[in-house]
Amino acid sequence: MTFAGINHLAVLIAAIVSWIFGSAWYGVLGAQWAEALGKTKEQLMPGGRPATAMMIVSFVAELVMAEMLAGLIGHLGVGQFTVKNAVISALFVWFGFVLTVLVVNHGFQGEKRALTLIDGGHWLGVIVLQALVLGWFGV
Amino acid sequence: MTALEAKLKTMGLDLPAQLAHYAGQINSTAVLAALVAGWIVGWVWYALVGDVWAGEATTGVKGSGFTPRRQIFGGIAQVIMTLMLGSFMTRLGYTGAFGGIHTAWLLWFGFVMTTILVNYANLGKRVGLALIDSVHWLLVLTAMGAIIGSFNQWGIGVPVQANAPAAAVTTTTGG
Repeated sequence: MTFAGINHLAVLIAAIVSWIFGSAWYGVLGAQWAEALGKTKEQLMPGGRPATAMMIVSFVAELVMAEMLAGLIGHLGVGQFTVKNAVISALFVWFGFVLTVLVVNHGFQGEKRALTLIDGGHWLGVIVLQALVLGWFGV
Repeated sequence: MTALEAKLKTMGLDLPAQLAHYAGQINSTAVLAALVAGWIVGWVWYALVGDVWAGEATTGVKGSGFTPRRQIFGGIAQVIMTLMLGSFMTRLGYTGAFGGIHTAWLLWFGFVMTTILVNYANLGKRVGLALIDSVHWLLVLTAMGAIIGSFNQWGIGVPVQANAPAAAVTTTTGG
C-alpha cells in the first residue's frame, strides 16, 4: 500500500491544539485530579499552573504522538487520509496502547480509579483532537 | 437489525461485519503465545527491579503491589495490545519477527513512552519509576511483536476465517 505522506504543518497544529486541550482539561479537573492523588491542587500546581518544564515535556510528547499518528494514518494509503479514518485509528491507538498502559500501571501502583479516568480522558481528548486536525488538513 | 446498526451502516461503519472480519484475522495461537511471553517478560523484569520499583512506587502511594486481580487486568490488557499490535503490523506492511519488533518499537515510542513520561512527570513521580515502567512495556511489546511476526511468517495457527466477505472488507477502512 502506498504511503500517503505526512503534513508536518498539520502535525504541529495538532500538537498545539491538543496541548491547549490538556491545559484546559487539567485546569477544569485540577481539584478532582489532586484529590485522586491525595494531594492539594497547590501542591501539584504551585502558583496555579504546572511547572514550565512539565509543559515543555507535554508539548514535545504530544508532538511525537501527532507525528506517529499521522504516520499510522498515512499507511492506510493514498486517498484514505480522512477525518473518519483518522479518528478510528486514534481510537484504536488509545484503546490498545494508552488505556491499557494506564490501567495496568495505575492498578499495580495502587492509584485511585478516578486518576485513571481523568488521565485516560485527557489522552482520549488529546488523540481524538489530533486525529480531527490531521484528518481535516489531510496530506 | 437495530436502528443503531442501520444508522452506523449508512455512515460506512458496519460494525458487526468489521468485528467478524477482525475476529477472522486473529491467530489465536500467536495471541496466546504472545500473552504468555509478555507475562514472563514482565515477571522477570519486575523480579529484577522489584525492589527499586517498590521503593519508587510506594512514594506517596498506598496499596501498590501485585494481586491476582491486577494480574488478570494485566493479562486482559496484554491480549488487547497483542491484537492491536497485529492489526497495526498488517497496516504498516511489516512482516516477520523484525517487522513485529519494528512495529512494536514505533508504537512504544509514539504512544506508550510519551504517555508514561507526561503522566509521571505531572504527578511528580520519580524518573526511576517512569524508566522501570516504560522499559517494561518496551520489553513486553518487543516480545509480542517478535512472536506475532514469527507466527505469521511460519503460518502457525489457523485463522477462524481467512477470507472475510467482500462487503466486510470494503468497510474496513479504519484501524
